[in-house]
Amino acid sequence: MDIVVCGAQKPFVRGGAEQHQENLVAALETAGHRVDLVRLPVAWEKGRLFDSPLAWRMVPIDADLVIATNFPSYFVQHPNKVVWLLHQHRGAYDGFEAGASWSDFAWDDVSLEEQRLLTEWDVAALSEARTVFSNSGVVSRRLARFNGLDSTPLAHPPPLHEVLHPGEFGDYVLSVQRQEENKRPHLLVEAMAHVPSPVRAVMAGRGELLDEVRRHVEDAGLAGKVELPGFVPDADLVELYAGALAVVYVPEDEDYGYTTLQAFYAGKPVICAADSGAVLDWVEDGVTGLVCDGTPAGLAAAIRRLADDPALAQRLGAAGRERIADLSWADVVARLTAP
Amino acid sequence: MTAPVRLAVHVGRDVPEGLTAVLAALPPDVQPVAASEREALPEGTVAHLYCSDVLPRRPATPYAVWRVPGADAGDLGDVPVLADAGAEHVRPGDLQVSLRAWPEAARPILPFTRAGLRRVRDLPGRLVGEARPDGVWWGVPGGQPAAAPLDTWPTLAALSSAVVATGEELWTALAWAAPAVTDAAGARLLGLTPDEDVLVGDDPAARSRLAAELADDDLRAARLARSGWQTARSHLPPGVAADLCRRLGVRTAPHSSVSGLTAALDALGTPPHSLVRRRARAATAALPGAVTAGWRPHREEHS
Repeated sequence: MDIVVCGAQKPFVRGGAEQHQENLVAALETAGHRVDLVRLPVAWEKGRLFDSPLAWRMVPIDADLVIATNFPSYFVQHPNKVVWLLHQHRGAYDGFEAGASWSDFAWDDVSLEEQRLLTEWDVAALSEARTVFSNSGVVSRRLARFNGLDSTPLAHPPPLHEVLHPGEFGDYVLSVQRQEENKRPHLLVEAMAHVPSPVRAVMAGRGELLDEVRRHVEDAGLAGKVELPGFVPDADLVELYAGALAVVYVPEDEDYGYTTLQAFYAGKPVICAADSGAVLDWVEDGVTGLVCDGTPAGLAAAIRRLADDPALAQRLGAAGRERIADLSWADVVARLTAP
Repeated sequence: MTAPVRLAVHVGRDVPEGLTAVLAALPPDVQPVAASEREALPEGTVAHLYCSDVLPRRPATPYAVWRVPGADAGDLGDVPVLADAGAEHVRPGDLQVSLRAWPEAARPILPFTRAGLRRVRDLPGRLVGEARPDGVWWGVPGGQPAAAPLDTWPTLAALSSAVVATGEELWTALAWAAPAVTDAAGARLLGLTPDEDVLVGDDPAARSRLAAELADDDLRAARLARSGWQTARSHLPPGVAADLCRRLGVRTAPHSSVSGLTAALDALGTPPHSLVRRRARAATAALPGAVTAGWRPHREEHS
């Protein structure tokens, strides 16, 4: 089949969604399809909210199948449209509801009319799709609650899944993420003040908060205990996963989160927070990891528990590895392209 | 230029009003043509639509049937069947045609936005509106309802967490995408599926109780609201015409000569004075015809 994968991207920003789209293209090509990736820029602020959806509406796509991924690429018109939804415009839905700093919607009639219209547009565009899959249970629940639409969660293997492997259970917890507000990097730094040596934290990844978090580590006198190497090459990252005691991933209401799955491929338990969103689709407290209350003290207690009981860490990590045993891109491709 | 696609329409003595409305709403590149067994079919005929009172023993395929009251067409299997909304013997999946007027000012407001509108108006967090034979009522679930003027029903339909209504008031509520409770006759009359599009209660007490439960269940309310609104709209002639073409395998041009920016905005339900229409006009001001493709003279944005 000739398949066009559609995705939106904010220029100069590259994250999980862009990786996801490229991995999907590769998986479709491996299955023998001819595939192209079409991207248009997106702007998130309210004043330009509808520009990019409208642009997608007018884009002519000649292909046997289009697979739209994130907001607003699913506004593309095609008689054979499948949506694999990574996320909607979160600032107009859950971010608005939670009063998140990254949502510019306010409780006034103008904002509410923009939000209402986006809801109507989303319902119209998503209802055109032959099938709507989502990235995770969290994304499906949002779609049901805000738009009244059903969707089927469809999980996929994370990047590096072919090379990640279990290893020794070392003396550090690993965090792999962009250092940004919704990932809550300061939480781990504060928790480490309550974790006795020799347990360390390695926080891999860049992001707009990297310098701020580094200063926080210095100011807290944790320089020898918390490392922030910034960007880590893939080969080194694989070995960091292999040698960790556990992986800490405590984002706020995550859509999917590759870190959790990468940890499981490496046979490591994941410590997350009770409000970490789709991470909780995978992390079951006491089974594949530990779910803390999202406070520094709670996170520190979870880290200490695994440091004091490495056998527990091994058991939870093994269960996590078992949990992702059936994930495959071949299955994803079969479901997305099924007639 | 390609020849138009033709739909052969086989009618008896009378042409049902609903059928006329559906034919008038066919996409521009699909032409309905009157046909009979005795005459040759016009060139380009790709499908047939028979009224059940003239359905031959061996119809030409592919075909659909308009169910005429009193003219039993027998077991039609997978054949698309069209009928007036609320007609007897409607099967699940039949294309039901409603000739009710859609309230022009109505906009679909799903539960999250409704809650926001109540919040900025200092209204109760949960609110139930009810249209009864003795008037319009509103109040918090389980509380003592207060009477409201009859003409406030559209406002209540727009703001309530859930509504109880039948007949025209139910139609209005669906146009505003209100999560709705009705009786069995009200659901059947508007071609709604119980538990998917509306909740159905046997008596007033049961309907009030269902509305109170619905007001507390955002997830269920969102599903019902979206589904009820979409189902009601799907019964309007343009929705039925599009569905008929799809089910008969009549391919219509995705971008016809009159599908421009305005048509795209219209199809998404964009209000005339919305920000996005102003932005679209500004963005295309230097491009003659970019916005006016799909132009309709009554739209004030082009005046």
